Amino acid sequence: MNIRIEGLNKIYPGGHKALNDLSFNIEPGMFGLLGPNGAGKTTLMRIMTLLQTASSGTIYFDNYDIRKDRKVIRSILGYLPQDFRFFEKFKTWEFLDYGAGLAGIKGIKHRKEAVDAMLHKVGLFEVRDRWAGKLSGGMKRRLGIAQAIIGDPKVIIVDEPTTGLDPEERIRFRNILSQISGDDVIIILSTHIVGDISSTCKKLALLNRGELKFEGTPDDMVGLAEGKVWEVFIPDEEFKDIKEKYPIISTIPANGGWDIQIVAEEPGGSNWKSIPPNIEHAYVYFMDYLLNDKMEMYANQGAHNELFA
Amino acid sequence: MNTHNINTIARYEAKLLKRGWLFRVFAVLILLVMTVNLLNSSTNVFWEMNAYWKNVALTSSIPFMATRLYALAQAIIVIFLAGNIIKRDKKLDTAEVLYVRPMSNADYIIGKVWGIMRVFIGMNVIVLAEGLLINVLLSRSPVNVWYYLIYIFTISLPSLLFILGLSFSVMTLVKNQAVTFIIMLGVAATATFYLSDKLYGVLDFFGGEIPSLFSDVTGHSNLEVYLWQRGIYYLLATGFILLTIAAVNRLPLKPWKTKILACGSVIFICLGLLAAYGYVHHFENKIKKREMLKAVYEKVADIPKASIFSNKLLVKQEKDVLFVESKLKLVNRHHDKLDKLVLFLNPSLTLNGVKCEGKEVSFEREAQSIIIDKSIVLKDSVELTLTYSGKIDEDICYLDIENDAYFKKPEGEVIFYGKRYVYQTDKYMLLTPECIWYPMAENPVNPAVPYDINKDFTYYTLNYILRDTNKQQVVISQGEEIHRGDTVQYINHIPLTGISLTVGNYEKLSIIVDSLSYELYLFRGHDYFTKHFNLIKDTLPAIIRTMQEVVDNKRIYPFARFAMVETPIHFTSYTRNWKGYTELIMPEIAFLSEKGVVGISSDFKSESMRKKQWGSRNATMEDDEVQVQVFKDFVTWTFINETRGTSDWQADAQLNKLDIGGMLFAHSGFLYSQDFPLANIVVNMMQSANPTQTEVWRRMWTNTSALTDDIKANIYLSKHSFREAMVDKDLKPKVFYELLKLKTFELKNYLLSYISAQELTEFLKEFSEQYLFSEYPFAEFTNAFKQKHNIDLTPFLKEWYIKNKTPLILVKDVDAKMVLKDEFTKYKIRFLIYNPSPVNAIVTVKADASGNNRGGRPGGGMGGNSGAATTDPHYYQIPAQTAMEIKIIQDDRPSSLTINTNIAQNLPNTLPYTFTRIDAETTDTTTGAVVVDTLLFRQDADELIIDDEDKGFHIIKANNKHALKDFFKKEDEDKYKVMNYWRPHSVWTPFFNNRGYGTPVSSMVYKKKGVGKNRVEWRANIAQSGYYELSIWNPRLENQGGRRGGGWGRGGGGNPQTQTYTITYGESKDVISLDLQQGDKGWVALGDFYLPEGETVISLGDNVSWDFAVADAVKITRLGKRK
Repeated sequence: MNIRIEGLNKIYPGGHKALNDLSFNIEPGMFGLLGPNGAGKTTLMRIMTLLQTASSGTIYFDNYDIRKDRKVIRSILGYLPQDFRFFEKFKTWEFLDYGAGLAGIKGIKHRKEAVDAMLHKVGLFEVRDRWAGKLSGGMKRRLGIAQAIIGDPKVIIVDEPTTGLDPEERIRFRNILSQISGDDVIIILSTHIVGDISSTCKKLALLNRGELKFEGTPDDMVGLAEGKVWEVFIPDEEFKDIKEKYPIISTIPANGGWDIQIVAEEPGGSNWKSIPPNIEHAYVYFMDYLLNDKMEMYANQGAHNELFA
Repeated sequence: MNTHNINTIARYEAKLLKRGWLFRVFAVLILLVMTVNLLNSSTNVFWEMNAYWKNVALTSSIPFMATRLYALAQAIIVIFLAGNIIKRDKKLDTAEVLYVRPMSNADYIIGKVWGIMRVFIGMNVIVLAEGLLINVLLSRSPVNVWYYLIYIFTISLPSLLFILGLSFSVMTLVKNQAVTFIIMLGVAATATFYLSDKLYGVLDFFGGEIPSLFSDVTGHSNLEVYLWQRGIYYLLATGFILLTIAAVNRLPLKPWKTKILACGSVIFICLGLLAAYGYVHHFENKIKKREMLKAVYEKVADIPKASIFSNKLLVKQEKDVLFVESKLKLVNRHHDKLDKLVLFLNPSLTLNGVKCEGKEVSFEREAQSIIIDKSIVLKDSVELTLTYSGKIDEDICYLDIENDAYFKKPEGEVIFYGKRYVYQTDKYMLLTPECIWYPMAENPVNPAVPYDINKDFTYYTLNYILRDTNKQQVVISQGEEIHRGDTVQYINHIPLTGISLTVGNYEKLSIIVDSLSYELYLFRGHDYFTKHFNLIKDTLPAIIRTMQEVVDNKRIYPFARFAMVETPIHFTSYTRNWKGYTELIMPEIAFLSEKGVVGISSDFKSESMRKKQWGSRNATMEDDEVQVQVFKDFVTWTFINETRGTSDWQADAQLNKLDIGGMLFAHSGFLYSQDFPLANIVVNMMQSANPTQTEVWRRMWTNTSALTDDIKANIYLSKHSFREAMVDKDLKPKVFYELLKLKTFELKNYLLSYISAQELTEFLKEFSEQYLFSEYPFAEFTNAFKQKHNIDLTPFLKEWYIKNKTPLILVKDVDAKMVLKDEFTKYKIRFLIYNPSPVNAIVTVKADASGNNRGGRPGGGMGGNSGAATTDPHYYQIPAQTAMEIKIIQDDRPSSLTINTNIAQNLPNTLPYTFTRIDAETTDTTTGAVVVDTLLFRQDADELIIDDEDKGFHIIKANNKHALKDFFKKEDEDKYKVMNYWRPHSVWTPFFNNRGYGTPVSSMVYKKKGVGKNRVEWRANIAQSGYYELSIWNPRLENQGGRRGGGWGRGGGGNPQTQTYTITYGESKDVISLDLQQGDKGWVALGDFYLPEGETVISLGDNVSWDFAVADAVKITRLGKRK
């Protein structure tokens, strides 16, 4: 499976350009979609999931065009939206059964086996008869991914899946995603939690203001910030100036001041110690220095396209 | 479309629906309401006499009622839930995980629809299963599961789909749940309450107001049309669902399919509309056809017709096709030769040939008319043989009935069973003369002038060849029944106005009483009632004899047989005053509705229980006595009473379609007259009808016109003659019927002013028996009357027929005194009466004897009768511009006197007077009517009276705000309304009442209590200043209309009825309050005033102490130089 995005544009009524001539490929495996709020990630995913149309350009799933081959594309898709809630009057297993049914799993017995297997996989078998609305936040998210992956889709798109989860649930969730990323499955993970990307994704793309700003491996991105991340002790009286001058990655209180990590092109003093960058440092360096964008993006408004809007 | 996807969506949509609290509440409520309703309407669970016969008699009744009610409740829920379902999709991202699935939009919407339908069908099945259970276990109604299924598919499902599709579409377009809800509720309510009977019921999407009930014998009245109408809603529903699919804001699998769906939606909606148009067109076509058939009658209306002396019919039926040979003997009873012969035959029967003495005769055929090229010289006769075959065209029937009445549900019926006038199927046949199934010489109807029809008395012989394939065929017709091999023969030894033919699977019950054969033909298995009369089998002849005597009091029953034949529920007839009978009453045969469902209640079980309960309050009623009473009541209400009750509280009583008077009069003789075309009906009515008494109690519930049909007829006659009325197409049939009665009683009262009622009855009986079963000229009647009573009716009749004015009656000085006559104390009533109009009047005077007799018997010791009794009425002619003094002496002390002005300008036309005390005595023992000076009625020159009908009376409204309903007011709405004590009108409203002042209309105005802003004013122009006494007319309304002033309502309770009058004169203003509860009706003085020259205004506001203010007349009496 291969996804080809070709010259994709999306202009909303009112003129806001959410996607601007976007073109890149996605290979099998976990793919991270990174970008600040309003970068166009959700619009891109909604177009990929056929919830809305592009103004121009297209996306190919192998050779299937989203403009023409919707049935085939939908049959290989699994989707977990960001703001995913439940019909409260469904039980956990029913929700999966409903999804399994629509994913084309026929026969009560087959469906039951698939549902039970999936419940085991996501650790919800024990609560299979609980009302979906009564599950905890982490469980709900697991149920969400379960419904997205039931029926063995070839492309799974998950939007901000770990937001609001405790570390344990986040790790659990990442593991589930890792388990399912097989040879020919594409998992597109949209997030602004860059840590999720570094630990799971083989490749990533960074969007900003609807444009592709980076495409490559997490290591490539980290490499861009090599020698640009510094650790330094700053006394209390200088902290304010430094904060205004540089993007600060972390601050740890120390005796009479702060041990901080800073992203900067050059060291600001002799006591600045260069440290190896990680993906988070790279993301900040990329946004602040390469794109010169402080991430003060406006929210992507009006992107929701409802059934009976 | 993918059925797997649809089923998956449907399964979970249904789950969601069922788990919603809203649905659960609705579902429980529906089940509760349905259960209570079914138990209440079709069983005796709540009350032993509860089950209304109409609801249980037919097999299809319970399934129909259950489905109809369920469909209505279901629609409300669906309207509410449909918006909710779509709103749910809008709210949650959950839907998006479904939208990315590979189902099509059609799968999705159809899945949703199917899911909802599954739930509602499930509920429907539960409700109907409950109905079935009640039907089987608790109800008397027969059971047939088939009807339950039929109604699911013809009532419940199409209405569910339609309302669902429309709701989805509206929600999709409007995008607001609340607005959608309001729109849909509005659509449902409008279609149900206002439009369901418009355009032949095409807008009735529930299918509850179009004919839907099935006869146990013949099935649906018109299944094709019924299914067609229901099909409209299937088509529209499909269109709306397709529209919803096309409009769904989810990317379609194939974009071009959206266009296809949109086109499909348009096509289906157009097909639905086309079907609706076709449905309406079907009826409009019938109207056109009826017009065409009427025109055919008119074409040959002026051609003199021969009379059919005899008609020998040989009838054979193959499947549903008739083969008939008719041998006619035609006679020329005219004064001239008939050049051509005109006959009528049902237009769709194919006339194969006409032969005269074995030779073919040429003829022209146009629809029902046949013009035969054959002449008959004066008094001669000719024999013709007509052979014809085919199927009867029902549309020929009742051309003289207005289209509205022809197509709509019969007035007074709650359920529209459907209408059939002819049955011609393989298994059942019912033909009456209305459908012209055999050749007729006189047109059975005259649509142009309905009252101008003639009758033929013909000797009929019917030979019906039985089909040996059906051994259970019973053939019923008029005459003596003889079976000859495979032929059933009916020979008539007397000439009849027409014959019917009924062939079906009947069982016969019969009894002969005094050589008269009583026969009852029931559909096999329909004998549900004999068990209710098991105790009176032996006494039945005696009971029948007593009932026969009641009939014979009107006229001796003229036939040798009285057969009652059960007909399918849809068999319908109309009351046609000009015919004097309905098609349900044929010579010898009365057609009863299936299980007695239509018309009089035939619920003998409940009737027996009711009788028993009521009887037990006073004395124990034995079971056999109960059965006798029930039997007598049934016979009386079914055949003897002129009117029948109706289940519709808003409607007036209906004329009894089974009134046996038709057999006694209309089918037994015919008076014809060129000068008075209605003579026959008038003479018949004189013997059969009773004067109309306006049912005030019924009208108390209606906030409608006070002008009943009899009053309207009376008003009509003040400007039109009887002759004009006859051809006035704008005159409604019911009003004409009352007019006919008024004119009949005018003639009868005239005769009774010369001879006694007994003498008149005897004369009419003797006369009609002399001319039994024949046509005879009206002159015979007037001659006979002159011969017997030496009174020439001709001058009266001429005026009676053409006068276009009505008299006015004024009455005064009514009193009653004791008088000693023949050594007995008797009572003398005296009054003055004046007819100032240029036309003569006849009044009916009736005194009620209270029974408190203080001496009217020898020695005065007999005591009183218990209860009031009415003495025989007196009839007085009051010539034009003549005043009379009328004196009546009677034995019993009168409690009241009623003067009925009959046809007159007076409103109301009954003037009641009560005598509370009779202490005065008189020695004048003369009685009768003597002319007195009209000056006795001259108005006092010193009096000025301003009545509410006069110019000086004004209504002053507080504002000119209009309620929405005002826009829907009919312009020709009647002025006078019924006064409503419970809910008085909120604007000054005129009504008339005997307690009011004024002639010819004793009217007043009243209004609901207010704050004084709305008022009335009497304005008088005082020509000369001086002292005047001002009085107002107090109608003293407290005892009227059932609401007793001291008792019932908020205004009662012994409260004073204080009204405040303001008198404005010159610069002065006086305010005077009066309690109208003081004194009796009449003038009450406001006081004496010195009024200057110029305008004096007396005003009354609506700020009164009672529930309503009332204003009538004001009197200003000049006091001369007294002060």
